[in-house]
Amino acid sequence: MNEIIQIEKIHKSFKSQQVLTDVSLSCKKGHIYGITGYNGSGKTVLFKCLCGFIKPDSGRILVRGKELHKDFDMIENAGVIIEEPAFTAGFSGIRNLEMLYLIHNKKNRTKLEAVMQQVGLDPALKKPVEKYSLGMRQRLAIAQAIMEDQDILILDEPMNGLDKQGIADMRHLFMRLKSEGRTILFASHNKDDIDMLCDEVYEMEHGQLSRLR
Amino acid sequence: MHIRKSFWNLRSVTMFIIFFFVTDMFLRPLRSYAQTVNEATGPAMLAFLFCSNYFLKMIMLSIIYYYSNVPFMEKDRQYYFLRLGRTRFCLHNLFYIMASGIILSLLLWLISFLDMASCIKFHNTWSKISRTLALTDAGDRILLHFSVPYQPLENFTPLQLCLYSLSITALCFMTIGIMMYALCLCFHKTVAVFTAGIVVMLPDIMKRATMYPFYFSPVSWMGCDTWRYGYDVTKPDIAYIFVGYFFLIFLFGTICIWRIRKTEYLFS
Repeated sequence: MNEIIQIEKIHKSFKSQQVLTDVSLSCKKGHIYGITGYNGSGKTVLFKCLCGFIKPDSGRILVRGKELHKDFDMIENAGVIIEEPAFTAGFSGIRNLEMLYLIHNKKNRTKLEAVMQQVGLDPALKKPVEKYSLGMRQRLAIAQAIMEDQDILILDEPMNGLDKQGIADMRHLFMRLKSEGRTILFASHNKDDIDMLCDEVYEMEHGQLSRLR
Repeated sequence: MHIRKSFWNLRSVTMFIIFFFVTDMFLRPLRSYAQTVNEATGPAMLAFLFCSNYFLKMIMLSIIYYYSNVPFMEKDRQYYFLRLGRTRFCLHNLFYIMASGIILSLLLWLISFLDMASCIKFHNTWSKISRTLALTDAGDRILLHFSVPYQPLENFTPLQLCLYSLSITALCFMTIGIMMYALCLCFHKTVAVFTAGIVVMLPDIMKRATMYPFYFSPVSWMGCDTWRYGYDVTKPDIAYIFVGYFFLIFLFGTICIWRIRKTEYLFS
């Protein structure tokens, strides 16, 4: 089976407000999918549904052939950035990554240092995350999303707060990850990012997803 | 989530300060009395402090404050939630509540020892002061804000009373924490805090409603004057108290695990 993610006709509403309407999407391995749309159009809710944070009212989501909320309750082996990055404030970047890495009983400081360098952060930096700029926190969020070699990446506005060089570095990184066979769902307002990176582009408007190219 | 970060935070420091001031306020007359008569007290005085309705309420209200950060859904938890999955995330939080219940209970006992450091002797026999307070009206004359019942002195050694009281204190803190977590997952944090407040006030409410108020108010079980000694069936015995706490922890823990599978996480 080539599709790693299948979203089939999902609906989601909060109280009386319909947020997602009949949304369907199929994602193949090793492709980058771009989703654009204005603020509040439903991109983040779609990503939260896909991760398992919230449950759609109807429809189903299949990841690697297994149905979310039936066969498993949270997406597995996926790197996720949703909304603004948030870490344990008093700890350094590498310490935060170590704590997350440890959840699966993994310990490999050398690898984490390499991942931090890939996203342009100094692993030796002792500064606590609360003193990081938005751009640095965004880089750290990307590091936590890729550090466990996740084959699915769900990235909501991953370029937020990055400077020009940072954006260029991240574009290069995402292209490399794609070439390694990872599937990336990418929400962005930036047309250049979408045009350069994505194999397929969708637009979310009033909770409905339509293909642009 | 990191253990050191979980326990060493502003809430823990606040709890230390509250515990210290409240305990000192209640133990100060006893300390002065012990210094005046030049006699040492025993280590089990905290068990008697819980016989004071006011002390009990102050401590329990601070415990409600401590656990008012349920359901542990700060934004920085989302990466943990994602990696742990719903059930493991819930179990992790339950473990945190239980561990913090034990730590807070130990902290309270430690503070009571430190506060009485100048006049405490660690002997496994009841001190003269304990017996005097239990058998005479000396407590009233020195304006002691808590009573020392004589039954625990007859039925337990100081060490036994310390161990029972320490365990019951920890279990009571855990029960309140897990109950608040369950209610917060089912309803809202306000409901959790309000209900916990009612549970703390329950001994007073139940006294008007039933002849057996102590069977239905878990917070009152912390006071050794509410335990059954001999044939007084209006009070629960130690076995009932332990089974009661374990039942409530199991019940609310199960509700948490059941509920977390259905809860939507918006991390705001």
